[in-house]
Amino acid sequence: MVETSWIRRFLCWFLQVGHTTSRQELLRKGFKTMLLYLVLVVTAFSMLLPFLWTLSTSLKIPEAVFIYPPQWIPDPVVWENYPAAWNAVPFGRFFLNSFIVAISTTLGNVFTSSLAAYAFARLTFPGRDKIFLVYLATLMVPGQVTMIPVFVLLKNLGWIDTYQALILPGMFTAYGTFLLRQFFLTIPRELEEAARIDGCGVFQIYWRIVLPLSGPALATLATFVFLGSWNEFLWPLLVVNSMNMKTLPLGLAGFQNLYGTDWSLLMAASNMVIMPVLLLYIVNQRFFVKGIIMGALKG
Amino acid sequence: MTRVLSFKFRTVARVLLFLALPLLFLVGCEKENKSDLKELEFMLSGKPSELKVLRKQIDRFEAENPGIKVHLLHVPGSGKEYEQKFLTMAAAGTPADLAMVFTMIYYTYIQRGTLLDLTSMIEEDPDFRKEDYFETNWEGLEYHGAYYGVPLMWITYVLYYNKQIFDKEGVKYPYDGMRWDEFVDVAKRLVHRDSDGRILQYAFVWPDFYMKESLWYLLLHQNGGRALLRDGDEYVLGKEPYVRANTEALRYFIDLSEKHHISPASYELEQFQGMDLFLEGKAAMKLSGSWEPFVFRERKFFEWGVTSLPFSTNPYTFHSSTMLVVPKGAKHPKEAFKLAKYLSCGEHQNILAETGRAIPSLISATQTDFYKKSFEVDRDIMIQVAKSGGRSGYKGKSAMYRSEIYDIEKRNLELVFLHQISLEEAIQRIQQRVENVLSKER
Amino acid sequence: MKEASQKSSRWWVPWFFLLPSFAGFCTFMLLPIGASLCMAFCNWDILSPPRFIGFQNFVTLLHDRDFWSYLGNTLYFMLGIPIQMAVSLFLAILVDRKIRGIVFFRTIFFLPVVSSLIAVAMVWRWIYHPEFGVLNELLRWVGVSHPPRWLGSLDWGKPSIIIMEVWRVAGYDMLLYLAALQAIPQELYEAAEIDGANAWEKFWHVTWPMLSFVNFFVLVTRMIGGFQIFGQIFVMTQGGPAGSTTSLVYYIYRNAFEWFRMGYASAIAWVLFLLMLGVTLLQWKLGQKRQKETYG
Repeated sequence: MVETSWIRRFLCWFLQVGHTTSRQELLRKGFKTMLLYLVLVVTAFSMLLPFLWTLSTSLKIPEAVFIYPPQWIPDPVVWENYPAAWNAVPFGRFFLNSFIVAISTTLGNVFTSSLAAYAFARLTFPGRDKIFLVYLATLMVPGQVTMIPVFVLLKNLGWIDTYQALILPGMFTAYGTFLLRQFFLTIPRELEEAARIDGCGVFQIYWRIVLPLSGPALATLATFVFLGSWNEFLWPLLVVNSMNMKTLPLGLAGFQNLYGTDWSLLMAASNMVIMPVLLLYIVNQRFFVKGIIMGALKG
Repeated sequence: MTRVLSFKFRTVARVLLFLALPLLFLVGCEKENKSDLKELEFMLSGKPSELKVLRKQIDRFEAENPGIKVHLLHVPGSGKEYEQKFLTMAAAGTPADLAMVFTMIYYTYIQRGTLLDLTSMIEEDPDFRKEDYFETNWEGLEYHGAYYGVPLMWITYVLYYNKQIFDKEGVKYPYDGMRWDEFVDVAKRLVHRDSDGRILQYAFVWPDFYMKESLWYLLLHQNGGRALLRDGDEYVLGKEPYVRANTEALRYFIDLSEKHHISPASYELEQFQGMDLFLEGKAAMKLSGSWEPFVFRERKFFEWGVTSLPFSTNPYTFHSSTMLVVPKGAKHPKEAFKLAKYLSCGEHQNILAETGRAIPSLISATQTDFYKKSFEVDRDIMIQVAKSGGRSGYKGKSAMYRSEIYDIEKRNLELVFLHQISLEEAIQRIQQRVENVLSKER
Repeated sequence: MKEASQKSSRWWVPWFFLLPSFAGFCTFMLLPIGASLCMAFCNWDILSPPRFIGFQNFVTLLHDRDFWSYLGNTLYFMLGIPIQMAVSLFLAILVDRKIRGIVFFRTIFFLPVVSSLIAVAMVWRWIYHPEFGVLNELLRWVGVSHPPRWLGSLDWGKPSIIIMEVWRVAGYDMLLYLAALQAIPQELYEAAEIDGANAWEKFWHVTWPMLSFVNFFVLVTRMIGGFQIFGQIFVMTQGGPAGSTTSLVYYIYRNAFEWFRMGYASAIAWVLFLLMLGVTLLQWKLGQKRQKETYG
């Protein structure tokens, strides 16, 4: 039986080790972990610096944004910038639009891409690799030249200024298919063989074996597609005409105009716009735990 | 076997259901408007606060004209996005019904065939009297004998100065009729450096688009030179007999930052974009357009004055109009014209005068208290100054290739600022390449 | 292998998987791309009907000094790719552990990715400001008397953008690498340990080979993205100073939307495309070889 002082108990909880670890072991692990945290904090700080600036700017009065020497802590602190930014343009509506578009695009893209990726990775059919190369090739065509043909297409369908115009073009890019194909290729064939022997149809293998094992990849793709759709500016600019169909990036651009930029409001608005994607990312972190994969393999 | 079939069935059902999702949107978003209501799309850019004011006016217009509904198509961003959207909509055959454009792009759009000829509508309308408006506006709207737009507002370029900085240094304010030499002397006394020699306060700044839109043509004219002849049909920057005056003017321009260090270099000014040095109190004077009072008003501790631009031999400035145009292919041109007329004849002109956003096109609007009393500074000088000025856009061939010409000028001049080539060489290069552009069969 | 016996009895199965994606793909990708190919052989100013001119655009392209100079700029920008990948991999390895609060750090690293390009570019423009910017402040503080003018300098314009890009996308690829690291079975590490491998050997013999698929993906997508760099230039430098940071796609954009030369812009886009295709095919062939080696 080992004596458990509260320090020891705290350290054991913090370092996630059992109560019976020796003192030596504890010190060694503690030291290593401290070092790790140091590296993490330093790196995180360098990543964070620009954001600290945007946060600080978002709470300033316009006159204080560019004073020199730079002021890191605003004085006075203007919390009202946030509601002011929210009210300057119909942010509620923009958030709704962005959500609808981003979620639809993400679900659509992940679903269709995963189906196609499985076909490219594990099924055989004539021309498979050639068609995949065509998919890859489309990634190489700059969007700027295809924008006008797509716009004309949508106009002929009567879909300008609608949700379809915002969702559909983003749903069928080859990025997702490419990414998932690469991941599917790494799944051990033995698992699929075993399932086939058990009598599973192709779709069942896909649905029950491949997809669950690709948790991180799917979560990653979902995050990327959502992010891309959420921050997309150029395409909605062209396709959206009316105020109540605008998405968030268009709303943000409203703070920037011919007479200069409303910096503090723009920063406040940007910070609000980041939130949902960040939340999605944090939620998706659940998939990034080693245990899940291991469990599937052993079971 | 049966197990496989049921799976197939289930998956087919799932896929079909998924494909049906977008159709739901289609159904949900159909807003068929089958009434007799004429819906206008009015394309414009501007600050949100401006839009609110405009919307109120338009609501009044709608009340006076039941049967017309106006949708404001606000294009955010700083200018490029506006042109891009205009282009895309025109290309797809769905342009707005009414749009706000300014002189420089006005001629380009006319030459590219995107604007509707409004001459007959203007001449037939008894409320439109040319005398009511500033002459410069009508002259600017005319293109080869026809009118493609309705006047709304206009601006000139003037010199703004920060009274507080001048007072602190004990320097006399700049005045109407000042010459370049004196200007430089005055400016040198207003520059502040810190111990490392870094400049903390500049004497003079330009707007951040002056290289992009060849605002420095001003200087050419002020020195008796010019870049474009025959209203833009011919480019003569490097040609006799103008090249000498042009080179002097450009030399003055470059020396402002490279020799006298009174203003930041052009490409650096682009970096400042978003940070208005003058507004932040980091520059004593600024050359800018008459929309600035609108912006200055938002800063409380700011005392400013305005005067005409300094020159060397020829007092000269630019003026530019903002007009309302009806793109070709607009669905309701007559109603659009009605709205345009409403904004250019009525109460809106007074409101414009009050906001300080620009000079209203209607002469009477500048003679009211709205115009004279809304700012502590006398804005009449902006109107006077325009009399000695010229149009900032050109009706000739160069209008079509405006953007390309700017790019050539800008790039080569930047090389001079960066000490890569000499001024004379840059001028010749520009001359050559612009002639090349103008002569191409497009 | 056993795949051979999966015959064509249900030939439609693969198409069943492929169809949703392929249908949308043809409509929204292939069709517009085909249209743009036609545009490359025309003279089109967007506002009037296009005029067929054959290969003239391509001939102009070959003689266009700006085209070659901007191609050079674009290739220069791509020098940042190995740095990006290394930094992302480093971050992924750093955060691939179960210590307390790791989600917090993972989020911070992802923060730059999440923000809109406009806000990020503005902030960095401020950082890079030669007189009042934070970076030069720092440099002056450590004793550098004449720090570079960054975005206003001919020499430092491109490196400035590269640095910002590395900072901005590190978290993006970090996520991909992280997902890949998570998928490496723990048994392989345990086996290596039994064989007496140290940390470096474990990385080189277990981690690195298992990352080959993701590496391929990251390399290819970053190269494709690198060839097409646009947004950062649009917001930060507008191609200056003196065209030193103009990329090919920025040139395409200007030709299409500012100079009314959509046909020429399409031609440039297609030449760029062929270039990317060539490079990617090369990587593909090399990747296939690697795949056969690792997986048989």
